[in-house]
Amino acid sequence: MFGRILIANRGEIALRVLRACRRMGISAVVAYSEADRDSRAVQLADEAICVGPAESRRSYLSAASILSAAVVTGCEAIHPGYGFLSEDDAFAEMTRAHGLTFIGPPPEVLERFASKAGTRELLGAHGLPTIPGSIGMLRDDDHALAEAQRIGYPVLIKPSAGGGGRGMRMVRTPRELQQAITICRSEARAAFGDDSLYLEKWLEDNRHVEVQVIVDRYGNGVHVGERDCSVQRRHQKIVEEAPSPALDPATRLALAEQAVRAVVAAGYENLGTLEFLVDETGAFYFIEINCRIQVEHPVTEMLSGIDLVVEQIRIAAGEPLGYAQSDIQLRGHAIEFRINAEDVRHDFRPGAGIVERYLAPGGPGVRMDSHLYGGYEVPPFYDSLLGKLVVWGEDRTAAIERARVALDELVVEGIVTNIAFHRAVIDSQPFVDGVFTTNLLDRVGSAAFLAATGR
Amino acid sequence: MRDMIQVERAGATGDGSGDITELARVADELLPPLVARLGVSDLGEIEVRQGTWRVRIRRAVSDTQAAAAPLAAPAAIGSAPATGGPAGASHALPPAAATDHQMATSTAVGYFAPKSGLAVGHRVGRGDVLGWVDVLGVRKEFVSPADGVISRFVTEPGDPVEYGQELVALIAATGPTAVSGDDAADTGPGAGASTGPA
Repeated sequence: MFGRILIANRGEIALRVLRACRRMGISAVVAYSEADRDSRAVQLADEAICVGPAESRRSYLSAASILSAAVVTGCEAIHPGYGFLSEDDAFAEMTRAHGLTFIGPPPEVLERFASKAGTRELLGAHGLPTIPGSIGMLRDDDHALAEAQRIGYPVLIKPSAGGGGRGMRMVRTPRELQQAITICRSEARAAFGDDSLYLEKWLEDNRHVEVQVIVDRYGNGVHVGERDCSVQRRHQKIVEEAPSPALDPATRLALAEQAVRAVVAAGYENLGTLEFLVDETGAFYFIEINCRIQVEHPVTEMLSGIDLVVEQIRIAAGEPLGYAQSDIQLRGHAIEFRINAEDVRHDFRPGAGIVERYLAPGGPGVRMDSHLYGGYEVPPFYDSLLGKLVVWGEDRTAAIERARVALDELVVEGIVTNIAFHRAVIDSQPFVDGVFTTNLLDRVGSAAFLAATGR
Repeated sequence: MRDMIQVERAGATGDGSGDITELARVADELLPPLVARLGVSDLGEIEVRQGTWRVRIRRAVSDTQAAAAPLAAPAAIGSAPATGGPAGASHALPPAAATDHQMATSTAVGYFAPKSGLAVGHRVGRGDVLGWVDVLGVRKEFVSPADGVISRFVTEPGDPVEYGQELVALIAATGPTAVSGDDAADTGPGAGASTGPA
């Protein structure tokens, strides 16, 4: 096992990884940008090292700075968290070349699963139903139009290097496609440094369901159930829960078993999440795999009691899984709310500023993963995630009841947040009925949604 | 007289929310170049107007600068070339009571290596390479933030350094903003670290 790890991330996930290190007796070094000097992770770290200015391209995204920071502080491994360098195969390769371990899939595995179109093909060959999409990357407008014609409108334009729902656009006509494709290319180039795009068939009323898998390097793999992430706004997940209220137990099990069988056969390693779209009939289509820890991982931890970050570190260190599918028991229902610094009433505009007061909720089945503290200044340079409120109950109704109490208890003052919006979501009929689809908020309009639920 | 930055809008109306966005835009667009311009000029104040906006920046005129009766500079030791600036005046040390301490800081993460032969007492010019930080075997240079004389090595050769870490201290020949000479505009990556707009 590693003696010392560099945490190359910020915010709540830096804190989450640090907690896993503490539990495992691993010394934790936190890499931070100048804007994060006063962060909670820096305060709690065994050592902290400034890797660059606020601009992430020169700090959290600078492979040379991060790796050099790990080398000069005597770390044996680097935990990339999510976002930033977490799925960068070149960075993973560079890390290995300097004799360190990348905590995630090994570089060749990351490379094999780097292209979304390629992964769809690969896992399709291993038995997963995939969503109809373009063959290969879009070469030019003519190619895009021809492929869209073949797949059938509406289609979703997606960046190959993307993540977190950024740079995606749904189009209904060839005209819309032509207009959107230029914008998508420039957005993808700006966000990911890669403007490769592909097309995917757009399912009108779909749910987003994903399967968590853990695979060691010896080919032992398990799934830890699914998560339903259908409450989205413009492809950004807002609320996640498990089990999925839309699928019956047999379908859920079949989905999870098929997912883990396919990735093990395709040679995957470490933690991974396979994302699926589920249509009204319950048919599921594989869309992409995330080769990292995800924001919503606590939902699965609440049901399984498994510490996924610890598992990720153990497997990266070469330890065998050590348990079988039958050892995993999933109990009850969990819901996660992403608490963001954003102004719901002004098109979810991201906010920043000083948190004057922060009081986390508590009680049985309530978990708050957040890096906030009173007096902390939320910098304007990064994503707006302030933390995650996760609740657990014996069943979905109990979980929703606890969510109400916890959301009412949660106090974040000084900056604008989406806490009231979450309260409106769980009081809404579609959520209570468990029939939320990914486009519901966009179709109804978030403001109307808030107003209709009396807030 | 203190440093000052003033941004005003003539006849501001409305609820103010538009103003804030507009103010941020004006500040982002105009302030950095103006501050840089003022820094390399002999001017004390610059004022520009754009639409209804008026931006005015003023630099403190220090007493030492005004009264700059140049002291005899200590003989330069070693080979560090004194570059840039009109000879004489800008290289004279101000009176001890008003010495201006400057710091060369790291712009990279790695191991510190000063330029060989560099020693306390050497005279250096703004932008001169003082050494480098070894980043995974690649040398990233760091430069002097001002004309002056090296007073102290804050970090030992071979030590690990982080971004922004103080490496070499120097006593600037003149006030921090009184940089003269054409080379001053040619700011290296770390050159403006201690004086640039935050």
